[in-house]
Amino acid sequence: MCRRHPLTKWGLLLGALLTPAAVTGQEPAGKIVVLNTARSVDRYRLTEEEFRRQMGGQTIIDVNLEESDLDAAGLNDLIAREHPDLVYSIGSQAFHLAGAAAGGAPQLFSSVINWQRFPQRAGVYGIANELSLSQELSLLRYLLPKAVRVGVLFDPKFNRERIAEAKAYSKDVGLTLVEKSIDNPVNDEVDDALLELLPQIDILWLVSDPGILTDRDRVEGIFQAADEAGKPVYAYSEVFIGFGASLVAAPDIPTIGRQAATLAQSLLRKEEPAAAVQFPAGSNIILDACHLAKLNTEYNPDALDSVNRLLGCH
Amino acid sequence: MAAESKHRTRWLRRRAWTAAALCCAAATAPAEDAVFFFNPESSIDSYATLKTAFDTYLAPLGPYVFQPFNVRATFEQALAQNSRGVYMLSGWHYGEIKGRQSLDAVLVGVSKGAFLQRKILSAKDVADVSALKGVTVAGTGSEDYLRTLLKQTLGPERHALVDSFKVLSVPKDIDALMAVSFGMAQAAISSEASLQKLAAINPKQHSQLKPLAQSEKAFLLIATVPRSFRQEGAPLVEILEDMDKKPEGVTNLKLLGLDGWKRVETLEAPYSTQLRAP
Repeated sequence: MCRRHPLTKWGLLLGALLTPAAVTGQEPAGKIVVLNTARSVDRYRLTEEEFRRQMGGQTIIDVNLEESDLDAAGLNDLIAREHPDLVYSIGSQAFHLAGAAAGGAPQLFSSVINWQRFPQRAGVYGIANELSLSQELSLLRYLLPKAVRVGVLFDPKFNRERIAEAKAYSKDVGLTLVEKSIDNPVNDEVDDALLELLPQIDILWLVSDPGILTDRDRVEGIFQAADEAGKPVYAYSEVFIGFGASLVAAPDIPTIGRQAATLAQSLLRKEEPAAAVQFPAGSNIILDACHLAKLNTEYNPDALDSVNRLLGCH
Repeated sequence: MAAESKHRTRWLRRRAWTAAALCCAAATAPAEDAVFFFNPESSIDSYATLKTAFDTYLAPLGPYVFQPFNVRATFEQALAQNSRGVYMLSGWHYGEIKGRQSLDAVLVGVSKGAFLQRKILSAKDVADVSALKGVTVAGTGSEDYLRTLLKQTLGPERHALVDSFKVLSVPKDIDALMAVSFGMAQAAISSEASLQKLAAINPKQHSQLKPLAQSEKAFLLIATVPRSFRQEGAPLVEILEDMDKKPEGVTNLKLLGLDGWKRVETLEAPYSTQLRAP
């Protein structure tokens, strides 16, 4: 069953029929409000499609916020009228709106950039938008086993704990993390840190850090410095392939939708998940074999069956 | 010297086959024969990479294209409608359809010297299989495929247990194993080889995973040809068989998780018999 919220305009989600393929017949029936920030954005659309495929048989009330004038009061009305068992927000705008509404239904989110910046509340569950740093290090070890000295720049305001965890974990996978903390990441500080860091490392690791990756110029500067030093860059988003990253390990978007569905099924069964927020379980790996060859960095050929996109020199 | 001579003989034989195939194709068949591929354990979006890599490899060798599928029914429809081509599929899938289709298995994929693999159900902090009731199990492939595999692995007496699982489909085996290590799933079903890879990446995580059940051994990827195309398809089969002799061919094999191919007729009798269509 699929229903549309009456406030939505422009004939929302035409043909959005549920696919019951994945249901085992044992899932509890439930009613879920899905708030999607923008279905025209591929990653949001794919996430919702996978979620719906997995949740076939549930009543879904969907709202595409880019085609709707739904506000917090409207969402409160919707929740009061429909009594959903769960509100699932896809994207930051949807999550912000769900947070502003006072409805008592449990909330689930995904595709929210830096979800930690939002107020933490009980009854809110989600899938993080990035792989954990430990996952990223494991995948690096798997794909580029000879790149063992890994350099990372970070702003302690955003990443002190995460980098400390990553440093402890790096030993488990036989890597040496060479980290540079920059308290005041203005351009000169970043340039100086890179000059000091690059000669000590085999690969530069870009982590999600709004203090370091402030704008396009900063990102270009970091890639240029790495290139001049002949060091490959390992990044967390495919956006960085365009800047010259040799290896990217990003979350697999459809898996995020499936994970959200698995979490939703637990919540509908009134099971308390082991963790309120999970890291993405699926990875999307892009390896630029051409660039790595130019930098004399070998990849693990036995890991190629795990690579989603292999970029050659053609 | 003997090897060189053998290589040259094979090259001449392939040229002759190719010439014959081209001659016949011009009169009666589509311009290109295809290598069709479907493996439920492959990551769907890696198919673009596979297609580019194989098309680039095959183009100078003859009028061949690579055609991957991400939906089993579409692959089987192509098989039913098109008798010209080589069909690559998993040993598990071949076992299911060989009775229905006139297909001959000609090559079996080999990895690290082995052409058989088994799947292992492993979990962290769990004493035995019965403790898995209601947990999330991660693995590669569609949910239907994973549930069938889990039921085969755990046996008929555990079907209710499998029905209680929340199955999480992930793009690759290594994701499934890491999902357990990092707490996104409580158990994973993966190949034995992937567990060994985890042992190489992170021995500590590997030691925390307890194998709880294992499937029967199954063949890795199998290359098959429709019986009516066996003779005409011989040059294409030979091109695939020889992939491990060229660096680009080796890279493409690695994308499939293989090191090379082995002729079915060279396998020991029990295995070649198992692959023979009824």
